Amino acid sequence: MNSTLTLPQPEDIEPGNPQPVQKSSAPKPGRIPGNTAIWVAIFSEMSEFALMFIVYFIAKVHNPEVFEAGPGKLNTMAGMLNTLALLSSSYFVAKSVQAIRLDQVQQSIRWLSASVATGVIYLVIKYWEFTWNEAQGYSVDTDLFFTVYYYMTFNHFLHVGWGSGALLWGIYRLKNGAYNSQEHEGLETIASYWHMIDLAWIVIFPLLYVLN
Amino acid sequence: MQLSLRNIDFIWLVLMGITIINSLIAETADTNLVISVIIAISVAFKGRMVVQHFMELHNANRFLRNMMNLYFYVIPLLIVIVQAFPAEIADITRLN
Repeated sequence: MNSTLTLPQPEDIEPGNPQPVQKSSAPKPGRIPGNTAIWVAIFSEMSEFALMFIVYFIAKVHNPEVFEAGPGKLNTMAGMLNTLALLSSSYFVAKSVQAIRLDQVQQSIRWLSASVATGVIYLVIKYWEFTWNEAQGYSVDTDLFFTVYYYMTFNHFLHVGWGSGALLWGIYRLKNGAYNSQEHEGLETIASYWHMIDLAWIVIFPLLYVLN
Repeated sequence: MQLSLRNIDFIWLVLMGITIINSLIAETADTNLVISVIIAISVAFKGRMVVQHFMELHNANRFLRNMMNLYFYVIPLLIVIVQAFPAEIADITRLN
């Protein structure tokens, strides 16, 4: 189970309240993870990606030959490694949030650092893939499949870039003692946004690399 | 490690496994309706696992949870519909 109880420490007892604060890695029921504003951003971005997916579907039914041949021209290994990197990164962020709920600050920093590292791995692989495409003679102008591919993946690439920056900010805040088991809304906000980036890639990978 | 779809360590391993299987499908099989359904189910499952357990919406605000879950019902459904009825969708999305 996610929930882990620990023995109450002296610092767990709030002033004026003799009952110790019970720590758990599990979130409180019914809450909004992070702050409300980030969910406006998340739904906006999910809508933006949904629009791209609809464009992909419409372009595909009007150009079936181009979209059947397209995935075979891409580097599936790069797509798979990037999916593994982002899923792992999302998992590491979830572990970081669980750790801070138990006041395990160093552990939380380590998980978040691992998440940044896998985010950077994604960016490096994606940059290499763009270079590889170019070497094979494929570019944004090759055909409609590649136009959609570049629009979707470069857009996502930018999200991973600034999302990684947000994770670095989270590490900085953790190191400065801004988050603990009672107050970690900022970390949850960053985590929620990062999971959204992972969710977009969960759809992009099969559309572009698998469904030939 | 507890082998349960409530344990995020186990979920992570399952998601990695599904991704590798999807990649093998990409390398070995031509897409038909059955493959599309398999891919759509894997997208729905992966999305739901991330939404429920990584994003921790499984016991969070109901509106957020329902909206995010809905996304991972609609997109996989579109994957199957586009594979099953491409000519019909092309007809209704033609501009002239």
